[in-house]
Amino acid sequence: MEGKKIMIIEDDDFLRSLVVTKLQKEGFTVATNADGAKAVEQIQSEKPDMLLLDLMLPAVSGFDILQTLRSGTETKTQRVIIFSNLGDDEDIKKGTALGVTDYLIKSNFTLDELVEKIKKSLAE
Amino acid sequence: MIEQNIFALCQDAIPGFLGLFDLSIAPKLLYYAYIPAIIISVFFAFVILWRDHFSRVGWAFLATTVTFSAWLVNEIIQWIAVYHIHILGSWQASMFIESLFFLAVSFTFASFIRESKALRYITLLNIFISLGVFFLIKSPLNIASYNAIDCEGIAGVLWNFFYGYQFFVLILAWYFGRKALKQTTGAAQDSSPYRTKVLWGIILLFALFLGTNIVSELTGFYNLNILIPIGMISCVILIAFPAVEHPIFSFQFYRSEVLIYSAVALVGSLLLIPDVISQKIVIMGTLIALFLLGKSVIAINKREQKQRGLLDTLNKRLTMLDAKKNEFLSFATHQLRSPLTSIKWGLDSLKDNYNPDTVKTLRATVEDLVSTVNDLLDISKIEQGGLVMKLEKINLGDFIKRITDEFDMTAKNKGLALMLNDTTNNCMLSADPTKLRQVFVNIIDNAIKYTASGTITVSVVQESKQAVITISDTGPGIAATELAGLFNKFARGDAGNKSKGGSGLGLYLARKIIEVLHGEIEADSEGLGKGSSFTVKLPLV
Repeated sequence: MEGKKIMIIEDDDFLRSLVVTKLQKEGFTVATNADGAKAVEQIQSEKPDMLLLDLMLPAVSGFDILQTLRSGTETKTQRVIIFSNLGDDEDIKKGTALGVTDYLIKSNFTLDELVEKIKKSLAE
Repeated sequence: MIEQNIFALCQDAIPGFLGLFDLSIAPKLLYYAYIPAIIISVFFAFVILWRDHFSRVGWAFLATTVTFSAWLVNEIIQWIAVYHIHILGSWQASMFIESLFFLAVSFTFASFIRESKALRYITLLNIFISLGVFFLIKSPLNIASYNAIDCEGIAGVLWNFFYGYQFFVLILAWYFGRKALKQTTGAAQDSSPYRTKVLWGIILLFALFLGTNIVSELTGFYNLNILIPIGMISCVILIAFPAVEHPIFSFQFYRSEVLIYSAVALVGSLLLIPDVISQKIVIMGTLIALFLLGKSVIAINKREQKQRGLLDTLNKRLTMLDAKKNEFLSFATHQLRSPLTSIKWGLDSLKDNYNPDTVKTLRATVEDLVSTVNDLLDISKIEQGGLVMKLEKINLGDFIKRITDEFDMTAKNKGLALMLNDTTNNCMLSADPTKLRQVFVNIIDNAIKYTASGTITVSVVQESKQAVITISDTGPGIAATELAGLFNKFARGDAGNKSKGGSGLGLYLARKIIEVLHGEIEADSEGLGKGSSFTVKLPLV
C-alpha cells in the first residue's frame, strides 16, 4: 500500500485529523478537503487511488460530488468509499446506485477496521 | 280518419298559446310536475358535468336528462296541441324519443363498467334498434291510424314490438348490473354502491313503465300512464347518485337531499292532477315509498360520507406522524452517531499515543452528546405537538438582563465586550421562561463562541405591539447562501465548524420555540467576516 494516495472529504476537524494521522502512519499519502467546495477539481488534480467521502458537508452534499464525478469522463471510475453517519436504506441505495466501492457508517467502525477496508478495496 | 282533416283543429280545442296550443286542455298541475322535472334534472346534469370536469359519466348523465326532458315535452305536447297533425306527430315521435332515453340510460350505465368490451356491441345494438324505430315513425307499424274524435293515435304493431324492446333493455340492465357488481373487487369496490343504485334506478323505471303499460292495456285504464314520469324521476335520481356521491363533490349531502326532496315535491304535485281515487292512492303510496326510501338513502349516504371523511383524516394524520417519526429517528441517529464516532476514534487514538488536546476534545464531545440528547428530546416533543409551554407573565427587560449577566464572565474571559441596550420600560409578555431562556442562551452562547474579538450587543426595543430583541456580533458572519437554511435541522454555517461544539440543533429548536410563542426569529449578516445578527420578535400582552 506504500505510496497509494487517499483523499478525505470530511468537515469535522477532529475526525479528519484522526483519520489523516492514522492513514499516514499506515504509509498512505493523504489529501484533504474540509467542506466539499471545489472537491471535484481537487480530485481531478490529485487523482487519489481512493476517495473517502462524507455526505453531510457545509458547501455541497457528498452525493452531489459523487454525481459530478460519475458524469465526468476522467473521474467516472474514481474509487469511492462513502463514510458517513447517515445510514438510511435510501441513502445506501442511492450510494450503491452511484457505484461506490463501499458504504460505511462511521460510528460502526474503528479506525483499524477502516484501514482494513481501504486496503482490501485497493487490493481488489 | 279523413286525409284532408289532418291539418284541422281538434274538436273543442281553442288555439291560444302561440296559436298552436290550448293550455287549458291539460290539468294545470301537469306543468307544475313536468316543467320542474325538466328544469331540475337538466340543471343537475349541467352541474354534475361541470364539477366532474366533462367526464364520460357527466356527458352520459346529461344525455339522460335531456332525452328524459324531451320525453316529458313530448307528453305535454300530446296534451295541449290543438292541430291533428301536431298531435299525430307527437304520437309518432314518442317511441323514438323514449328509445333515445333508454339509449342514454344504457350509455350512463355503461360508463360505470369500463372493463367490459361487450358494452360496445350492446350500445351498437341499441342504436340499431332505435334507428329502426326512427325509420318506422311514419308508418302504420308505429301508429296504425288516428282517432280524430278523441284526438289520439291508434297504436300499430310496432308498439307491441316496442314492449319487447323495453324488455330487452331491462334484461341488459339486469345482466350488466350483475356483471358490474361482480367486478367490484379491489379498487373498483369504491364504486359498487353507485352501481347498485344505477341498477335499481333502471329496474324501477322499467318495472313502472312496463307494469303500467301492460296493466293499462289490459284494463283500459290509461290514466295509470301518469305513473311513468315517476319512474323516470326515480331513475334519474338514482342515476344522479353516482355522480353526486363522487368524491369531487364537496356538497354531496345537500345535493342528495335536494334531489330527493324535489322528487318528493314533484310526485306530490301529481296528487292534484287526477280525479280518480284509485290513482290518488297509487300516487300516495309512491310518494310515501319515495319519501321513506329517500330519507334512508340520505341517512346512509351521510353516514358513509362521515365515516369516510373520518377515516381519511385519521389515515392522513397517521401517515404524517409515521413519516415524521421516521424522519426524526434517522435524524436522531445521525446526530447521536457523530459525537459517538468522535469518542470512539478519539479513544482509539489515545491508545496509540496520549494527547491532552484529544482528551479535551473528547470531554467537550461528551458535553455535546448530553446537549444533543436533551435537544433531541425537545425536538421530538415539539414535532409531535407535545411541547407544553408553561406560560408566565415576564418582564422582558429584567429577563434579558439576567441572561446577559450570566454571560458577563465568559465574555470578559475571552476579551469580548457584552453590551445591553434596553429602551423598554416594564415591557410584559407571556412565555415559558425556561424555553425562552433556552433561545437567548443559545444565540448569545453562539455569538461568544464564534466571535474572536470585538463586541456582542443585545438590544431590546418595543415596536407597537411587539418586542424586538436583537443580538449582533462582530464574529465571522454567515454566507448569504447559508442564511436561508440556518434554522433548519442539520444546518451549521461554514464558519461555525463542528469543532466549535454544540449539538447543531440549537437554532432549529430556537425557531420551533419562538413559533410556538407566535413570534418570529431571523438571522442577518452582510457576509463572511462582517459579523451577524439574530432578531427575535415576540408579541406583547
